[in-house]
Amino acid sequence: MSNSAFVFNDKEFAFEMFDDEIVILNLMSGTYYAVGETGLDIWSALVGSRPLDEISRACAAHYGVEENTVAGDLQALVSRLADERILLAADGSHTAVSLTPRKTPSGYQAPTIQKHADLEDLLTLDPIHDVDPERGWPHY
Amino acid sequence: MSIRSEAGPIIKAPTAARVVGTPSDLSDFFDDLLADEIRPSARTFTSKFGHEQIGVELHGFPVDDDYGRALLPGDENKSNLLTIHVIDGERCGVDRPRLAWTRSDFGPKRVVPGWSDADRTTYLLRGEGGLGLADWTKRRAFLWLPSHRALPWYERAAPFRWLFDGVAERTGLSALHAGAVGYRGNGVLIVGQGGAGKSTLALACLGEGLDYIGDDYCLISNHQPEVFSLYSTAKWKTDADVTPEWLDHVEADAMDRQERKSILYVETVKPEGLVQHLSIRAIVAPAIDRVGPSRLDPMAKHDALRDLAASSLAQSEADGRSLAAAAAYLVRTVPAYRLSMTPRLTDSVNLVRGLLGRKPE
Repeated sequence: MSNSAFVFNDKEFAFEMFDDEIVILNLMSGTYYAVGETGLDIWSALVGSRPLDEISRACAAHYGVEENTVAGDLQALVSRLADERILLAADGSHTAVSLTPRKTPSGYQAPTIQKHADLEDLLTLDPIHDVDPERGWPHY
Repeated sequence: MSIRSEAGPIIKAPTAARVVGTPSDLSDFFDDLLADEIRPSARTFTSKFGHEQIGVELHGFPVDDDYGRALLPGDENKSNLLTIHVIDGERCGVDRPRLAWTRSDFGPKRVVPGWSDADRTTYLLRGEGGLGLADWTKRRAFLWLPSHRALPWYERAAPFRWLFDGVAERTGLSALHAGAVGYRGNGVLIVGQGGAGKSTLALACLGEGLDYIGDDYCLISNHQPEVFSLYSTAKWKTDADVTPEWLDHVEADAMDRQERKSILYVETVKPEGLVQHLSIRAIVAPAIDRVGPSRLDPMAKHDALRDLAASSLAQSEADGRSLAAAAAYLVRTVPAYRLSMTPRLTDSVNLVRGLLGRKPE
């Protein structure tokens, strides 16, 4: 997985970068995610299909921490994002990784992600059952 | 079988259900109705939509039916961006067409993705057993209902809400789950999930003389900090802990029993408070706070985006992309505040007045 790369699933999600948090919005459900800490530094490289090992290496060098530590934290973040379909697997881009360091750096902190699905009840509509072939109408 | 209308003449003998195989066929079905069968029995009116307007024709509706009353009256001399034809199937003698759709055509919302494309959007309105179609190239939309009596009160209080997302998306606007109030052209956008206190705050402001855009839904421009009214209704929970006092002396026009909300046509009690457009000066996210005092605290932009966009996206029947971008633009353009709102609603109203450049009263 070390040279895996990803793209942002812009068909289902939108994101906005702020100084201290990235907000990701599910365009259908309104579910939102907040990515923080070192996640802000590496986000552009991550959604720009840079291989994970290159991102880890650049981040570790920037903060002066063990590369294995960063790699593990990055893998955990990516796994969450991929599970939510926010990131999709892609071919890696091998241009040099450039981080976008936060404006208020406080040393290396593992990237964080929080999910808020408070609004899923708004989508709890009557389920569609089988369409009646004689009536051509949902049967529910 | 013939149907004798309440007004007198026989409306129409029912036609056999027509089989519709594709979205294009569905568009042809409604076009044929329009050309041949359901004119001229229509009540027509226009309604403002942002800087433009839409036309509505109610086919077969009783003359005293007030569907559409919640919309803001337009200008009969202006051209319509879109015309919506609503068909009372029973009174027009038009059975629901038989559609050749399958289960995989449906999504979680009213839009039927498998029967929609760039030119047409098909809607299934489960609550009222209705079928909708928007033909964007012909600038026409249709809503077939089994009967005018099938319209639930949430649809009467916010007509065509399901359709307006698509109209907004195509006109540089976004429909938001938000309220707004203002003074002399300046406005405050009130955001938050259901139950946060949007209606309470908006109606408290209206009761104390501020201008009213709405308490639940509105339109914003995607490229300017502007807000437009969509509906002239107000809804509030009948069992709310805190209600603006002036509402205790008002008789609601209707009751949404499912959501336990009272519904009011604002023009019947405070017509002078209704405005159609405001420039947004701030975003306010209310939250009930029993401890007090009422206060405004600056909100981080990412928190404001969450409060502004999340519930709007959840309820949107459009793509969502332009709505998310419009919300992001707005939170980067105007300041946002968390309003801790105590039962002394006047204090909260005065805080809103302060944001609008008015002195407390």
